[in-house]
Amino acid sequence: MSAESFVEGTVQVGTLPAIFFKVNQAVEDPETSFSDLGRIIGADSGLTARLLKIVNSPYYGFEASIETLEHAITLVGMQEVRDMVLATTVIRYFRGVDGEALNMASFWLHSIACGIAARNIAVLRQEPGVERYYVAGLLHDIGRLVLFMNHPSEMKDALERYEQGGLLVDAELEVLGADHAQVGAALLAKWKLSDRLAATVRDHHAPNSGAENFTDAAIVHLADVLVHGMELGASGERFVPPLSAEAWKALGLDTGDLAPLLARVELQADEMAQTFL
Amino acid sequence: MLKTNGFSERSGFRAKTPVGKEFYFMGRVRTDDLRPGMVPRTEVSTHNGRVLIQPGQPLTEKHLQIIKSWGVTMVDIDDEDFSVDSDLPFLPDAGAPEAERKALEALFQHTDREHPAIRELYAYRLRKSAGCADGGVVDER
Repeated sequence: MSAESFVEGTVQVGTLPAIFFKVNQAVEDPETSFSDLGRIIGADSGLTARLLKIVNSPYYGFEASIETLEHAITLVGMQEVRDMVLATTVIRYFRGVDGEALNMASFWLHSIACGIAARNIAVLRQEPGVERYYVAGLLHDIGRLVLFMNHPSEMKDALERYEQGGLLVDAELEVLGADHAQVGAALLAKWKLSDRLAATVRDHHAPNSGAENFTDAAIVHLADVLVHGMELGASGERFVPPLSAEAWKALGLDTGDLAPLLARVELQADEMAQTFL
Repeated sequence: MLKTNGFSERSGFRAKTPVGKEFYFMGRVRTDDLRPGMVPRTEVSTHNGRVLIQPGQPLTEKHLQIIKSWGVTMVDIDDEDFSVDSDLPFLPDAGAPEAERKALEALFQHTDREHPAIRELYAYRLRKSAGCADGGVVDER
């Protein structure tokens, strides 16, 4: 089976809520003003409340309290707000889902922490548009959710193989013919999110130095390893996945950067988990 | 010149690895451990290559402020007495309970424990297990 077939015709992972596409379309349109975007998001009161909570969290560190969407958009920018809307709608979308083999709170903690770690690595590297890395980290294991939801018995087989040694991602490939990274990328493509994001999710276990998205994939890859190492949540995998030495080298970080980064990720993950979950 | 290895008072760990090997000190000093009068051996520069301080001139309080405000984490220092090798992270030789050590070994079984980044991550976990709430880090950024 191809990775795409895992996300076709499934009831549970059809499309993202319309609000995301409206927001996405508005952000892409150069004519859109901050107040236009504020009005579109404002139609969804739950989303509005969450966005205001996020921009007022210490994660952003604005001194005065931000009370309107328009003010929030002015401060963080349209692209960043779009990425926040995406993160919020995806988590809300999967809220009702509860896989037997997968603890959802733990899954989202792992995902959020990975997003935060990716964002922090991107900040260290002074990459533009760091919220993009938050989204990529947040969604890196989304394929696993699809697999646990729609193919529970195969995933049970894969987990049994995994218990005997090796990596879960390899066990998935053996049992299902596609792994969670490929299925995640297929889902993001089906949701019509950017190719760059899908490719980053696809390559997060094995960043390919020849590919255009190598840096993005390497950032999410390192974030995943760090978050596993800190045991912040879990997504089915019990052990720290191997770190690609090539990816680490390409990112050009100093080992001295890591300890402060880890401490920050732990603090921010706790904060964000309380905001989102 | 001030004679201190800079970090031991703060974190309270002895400079030994779990296997009891003495640490090898060389020219990398963590920003928190920098003191006025230390002399950078190489240019101090930011992540995007902006040079903040030329090598050879002794650091002043003002330099330290600049280094911290630009988020520089390590500086090459000329005097070996001051420094700690960033590739040999600071591992507590006691303190982490045996059960937690075992659990950590299992957790990291698929990784290359010799890799500097993995070693740093592992050391962070060990420091936390040994009761250092923030993993021994004072982050001023």
